[in-house]
Order: sequence, then C-alpha cells, then structure tokens
Amino acid sequence: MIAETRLTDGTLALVLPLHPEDREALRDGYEQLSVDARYHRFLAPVPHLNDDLLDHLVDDVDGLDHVALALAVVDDDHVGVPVGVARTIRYRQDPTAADVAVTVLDAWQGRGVATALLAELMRQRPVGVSRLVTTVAADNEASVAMLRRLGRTTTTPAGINRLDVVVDLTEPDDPRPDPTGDP
Amino acid sequence: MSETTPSPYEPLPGQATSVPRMLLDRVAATPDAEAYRFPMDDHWESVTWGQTGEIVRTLAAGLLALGIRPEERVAIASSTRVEWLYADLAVACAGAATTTIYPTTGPDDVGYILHDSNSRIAFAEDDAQVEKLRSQRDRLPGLGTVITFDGTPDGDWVLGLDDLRELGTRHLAEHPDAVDRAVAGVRPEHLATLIYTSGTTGRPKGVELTHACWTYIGVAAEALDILSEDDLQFLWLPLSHSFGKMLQAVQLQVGFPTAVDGRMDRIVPNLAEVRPTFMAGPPRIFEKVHAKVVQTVAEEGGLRAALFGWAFGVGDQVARARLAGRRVGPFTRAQHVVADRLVLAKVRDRLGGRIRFLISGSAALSPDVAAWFHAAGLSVMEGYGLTETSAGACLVRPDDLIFGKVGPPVPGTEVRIAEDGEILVRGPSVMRGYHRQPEVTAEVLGPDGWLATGDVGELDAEGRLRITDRKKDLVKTSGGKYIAPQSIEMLFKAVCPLASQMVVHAEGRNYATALITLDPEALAQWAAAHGVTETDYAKLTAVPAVRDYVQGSIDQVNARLNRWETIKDFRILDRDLTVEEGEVTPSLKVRRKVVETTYRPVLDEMYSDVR
Repeated sequence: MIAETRLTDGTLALVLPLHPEDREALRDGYEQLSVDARYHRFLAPVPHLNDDLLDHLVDDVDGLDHVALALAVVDDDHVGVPVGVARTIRYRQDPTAADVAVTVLDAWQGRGVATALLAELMRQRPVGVSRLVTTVAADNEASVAMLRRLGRTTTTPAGINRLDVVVDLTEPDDPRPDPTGDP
Repeated sequence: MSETTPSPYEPLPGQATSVPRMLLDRVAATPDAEAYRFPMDDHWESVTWGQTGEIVRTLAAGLLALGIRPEERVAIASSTRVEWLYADLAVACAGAATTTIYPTTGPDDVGYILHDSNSRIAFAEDDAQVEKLRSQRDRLPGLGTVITFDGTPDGDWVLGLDDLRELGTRHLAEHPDAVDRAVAGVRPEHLATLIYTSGTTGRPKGVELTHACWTYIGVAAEALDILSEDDLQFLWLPLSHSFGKMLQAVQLQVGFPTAVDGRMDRIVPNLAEVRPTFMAGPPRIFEKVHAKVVQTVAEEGGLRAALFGWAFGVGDQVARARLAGRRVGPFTRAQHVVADRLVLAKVRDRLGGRIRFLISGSAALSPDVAAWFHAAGLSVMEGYGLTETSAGACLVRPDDLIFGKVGPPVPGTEVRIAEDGEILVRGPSVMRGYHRQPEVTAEVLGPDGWLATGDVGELDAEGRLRITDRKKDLVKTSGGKYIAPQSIEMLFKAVCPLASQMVVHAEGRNYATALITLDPEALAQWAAAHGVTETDYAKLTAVPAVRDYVQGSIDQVNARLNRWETIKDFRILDRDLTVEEGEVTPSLKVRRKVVETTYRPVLDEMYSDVR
C-alpha cells in the first residue's frame, strides 16, 4: 500500500512499506546521519548498521507485528529518494502495546517527514495495538512533541536524559481536521 | 563571590519604562520611517511607525472595550505575520500581557496553557486555530472572546479583526485618552509576556517576562552599536518563541524596518526579494543553506565543483587570517578577488547580497558550517540565551568574531560559572519566575538573582563563554563533578572493535564504572584469531585474555578523559542486552535505567571494595 503525501514545504512524497531489497538503502541512509541522529535512534552509540542489526530492521519486518515504512521524496526526474523510515513493533509480553522509532535524514528534518510517516504508521499499526510504549532522549523535544500529537501522552523520567513515553491511542485528543479528508 | 545584588528595576540610560512606551517613543521619533513590510498577494506592503501607532492604538482600545485589565493575559495562537506584531503591541498598549502559543501546539497543550495562564482573550490566526480553541472551550470558562485574523467570526464568541477595530474606534470616540492612560499605568515590573517552554517532562512551564526585561533587551542591543535605523531585518522566526520576541524589542528601540513573513518555504525567495542587511535564526537554517548550496554544486560536478572547492579554499584562508587579525599576502588577495567574483559573491547573492551579518542562536552551530559562511564573506555571530533570560545573555561581537564560542555577556548582564561547571546568569533580562510555580522557580532562580541555566560551560580569559554540555546529559558524581556518559560510550565504541554496548554508571558514586557487552560475532572471530578455544559466548566473556583486551581499550579511552571521568572498573556481562528482559525496546533502543536496575548488584560490587 503506497500513500501519497506532501511535506510542509510542498515537496511531493510517497510513504511505502520497507522491503527486503531496501537493506542496502537503509545501510547507506544510516551512514548519512549525524552523530546525534544515530545516537537518538538507538540511545546508544551505534556507528554503523551491521548485518545483525539489518536482519532485525529489514528481514524481521512482517507487516503484522512489525510494520516498517519508508518515506521517499520525488525528485525532478520522478525518482523516489528515501529520506526517512519509521517502524512500530508489538511487544511480545503485551500485545496491546508497541514500540515506535522514527529516523529522518538530518537535511530533511523540520519538513514534516516524521509527522507524515507517523500518521501513516498509525493507520497501518498492528491490529489490537492501543498504546505506544517507548523511550526517547529527554533533550529530543521534537520527538516528544510528535508523540504527544498522537494521543494522550505520559512521560516518566528514566535516568539521565531519558524519558519513558506512553501514548494512549484509543483517546486521540486531537480533533484537528485531517487535511487529507481521511477520518 | 562578593557581588552585590543590584536593585532589580534600576533602569539603564535610555531604557523605556515599558514596551508600549518604547513603541510610542519610536512612533514620536520617526513617524514617517518604515516600520514593517509584509507580503500581500504577490507584492510587499509597508507601514510607517506613524501608521503602526494608529493601528495598534485602535486595537488596544478594542481590547479595553472588551474589558481587559492590567496584566491580564491575552493569548496569540498564530504563525509569524504582521498581525501577530499588531496584536502583541495592542495587548501591551492596553496594559495587558501576551501569552504566546505555537500554531503547531496540540489542542490538549493549548487548553492547558490557556487555563494555566487564565487568558481572557485569544487571538487565533485562522479557522484551524479557532477550532482548536473551541475544542477546549469547556475547560476555559475565563476565555471570553476569540479574535481571528483570517478565520470566520460567529458574531458571538469569535470576532474578526475588523470587529475589534470597530469596537476600538467607538471606545476611542467616547474615551479619547483611554489607551494613553493604560500605557501610563504600565510599570517596568509588570508582566509583559508569558512564554511556555516546551519542556519534555511534565507540563509546560510559563516563563514570566516583565516589561523591564524587554526594554532592557532593547537598550542592551543599542549599546552593542551593531544595528542602526538604516538596517533592514528579515524576520521569519516564530514570534511564539523568545528569540523572535527579542528581535521585536530590539527593533522598537533601534528603529530599523523589519520585513515579516513566517512561511518557512518562502525564506530563500524572500531573502532575494527583501535583500535584508541582517537576519537571525537557529543553526538549522544556516545548515540548510549550506547543505543546499553544497549539494547543488556537487550534483553539477566537474569543473564547476572544482572551481567552487578552490574558491572556498581561498575564502577560508582569507577569513581565517581576518579572524586571527593577520593580513594575507598580495597573491592570496588577488586570488580572493577572482574567487569572490566567480563564486563567493554568488553565494552571498542567494541571501540577497546585502547581508552584513547573521545571528545564530538557540542551539550550537557547527564550527564547520560557521567557517563556510565566513569563507563566503558572511559573518555568523553566535549568541546564547534562554527563554528565562528573554533570549538574551551573550553575543559574539563583530569586531571579535570567533567560532565555537557564544561571546561575552551583553552589557548589563553578568555570567559566572558555578563550582560544578553550571552557567549562571544575572541581569535585567532574567525572568520574574515560572507562572504559579514558586517551588520550581526557587530551584533555578536564587534570592541573589542568579539564574541556573542547566547548561555547563567555561569562560575564557577574555570573558567569552563556551557551552560544553547540557546538564541533563550529564551525571553528577558524589564528588560533585559532572560526567558525560554519552561521550565516553561513543569513545569506547570507536576504540574497541569487540564492543556491542556500554553503559557508564556514576550517578551518586564517587567514580565511574561501566557495564559492557561484546559483539558475539566479533568476539568469536577474535577468539579464533588469538588461539582461544572456547566458543560459548558467556564463557568467552570470562576468559582473562578477553578481559585484558577490553581493559586495553578502556585504558585508551581513559587516556583521553579528565581524571574524574575515567572508568575505574568494568564488568563484561555474560549475555547481550535483550528485548525479552526489557533492556532494549523492540526497535532496539537501549533502556539505560532498566540495565542499571537489573545489574544493580554487579554495579554495587564495583563500589564495595575497600579503597
């Protein structure tokens, strides 16, 4: 399922499922991230995506309990260029809860890439998931603000510069009209 | 320290008593000069200070007609546009205080802010903003009226800007001196602005900034003597943020015109049209301009890319010499003339061609990006401030340009470094406190007027500040020293090829230790190459040769750290961190706190030795 969207600066973009053949693109994209962006993704220094990590991030995507989407902008030659990826993974211990992670190339941050990815990701989230449960860097305010927009959010300090975040998806407190007209 | 505490409202020479006074003085001084320029259909319209004064006076009278009283809060939920400035100045002239709301703030937080600030009236940009307020109306009995710029009035709760103007005109006909009386009643210590900071823990906190904060910012900027009435500002920053508000105060004092358009996607074309002489922004905007130009050239490739590289090399040489106060030789000078004509001037043209300097604030600017702008002949001056200091505290001076530092304090502000490295700021721009949160205020603002910023830094011999860390990234040892676990973990990962994870632990301890996991594949390979016959991961982690190897990496890391930061002991865990144990989330984010809790006994053991 491919969704078409526009970024805040008007750029045309496509949101599409991450496929096994995107493995190298994911590896390359990660190499382009700033040190901070890499740190924020894993909350630990992970300089490169090795094969073990890629097995998990690409091969383990099943579209049921682990949904991963990529956002590609369409350039002047009508070629899609991937600039962001987002995933949600159900917790085995609690099937109503899922983790979430979003990564956007530094140069594309601040243009609504993550927001577009999250909106589509929530539409395609694993059946039965009613809460997002994750950890973020406390200084990553953009990330926290984005999660807050998805529903009632509680944050709990979880050690140095860390916040545990729980988003209740059953009571979206955001009655903003959806610009696409979708309910 | 032996500083005496100055009287909080001792005005500086030329400092107005209030923001509305600053405006009226400006109107009286240069009524026919251009004040604002804003986009209208496909062209730019201008208003003079005289016209601005009239527009603002009428709107202020409208607010008075609606019954607003001194220091009561009026919210503005809008993107950056000239109506934002009119509304804000009208609130000030009515003696009330502005609460700023980002247009992107979610309905729940908007409801909270309006409730916490007890806003009586709200300006809302358009129907989307009005809708957001309407969705929260049940919890906001105090919000009597909404005034919309572009949205649809309902003749009841929601008025249009024209309706407010009409109310104002009538009110002025009956009470011609109503606004002047309201302005005369505004004292320096009165609340001018309530800005909610988007903290990540708990609810946002309202920062109370007084009229004296902003009028001080105005005179401090004037004392720096870097701007004049002949300058032209391009303003696109969110006015809901203290950085944008600060620029508004500076403009009222100095009197240069400002072109206002908050649309992000119009910044580059606007720069070419407006041709400003200065612009301020967060580092991201400078990084974007840099990335865009570099990418365009890289895609063109070939000769043009080579020429570009050469020109920036020459530009960099000249810029560095200038920064160091050296002169370059005649050959370099000649090269620079060519480089400038062929390449560098064209980069400057992208920003309109008249920029005298750029100001970067609100986060750290990468020295590489700063150097690139300097090479192109564009000075970027870094500044430092928090919402709690009305966005102003330090600024690099044009006659003492430097990268990687945020300059000395602005005139009238003091900066000092606490025992533990935290940056403390004192001066007239420091907030009155957090709205209705005396305990939280007391945590950061001492009775002697020093504000604890939560940033860590150092002052050089010339009194210029360098920010080294955010305090919340740091752990404090029982000896009171700060340690940055993130940097140590990164260093270890770079040094040790066997590393999988490292969690540095030091909170409340008298030295730092670490929990380490190894990469199974790398470890197996290493073991085979070093004649270790063991193959089981858990058993390998206990092999002395493995521990010795990791110790070698730790020693290398320690050699690059301050003494108090060094890792005194470590344990290699017999398994990697797992999702099942909750040590990493399913998307593989490490949960430091869970690791520290799970391995508490292992950590305790490293502190139990008799030393």
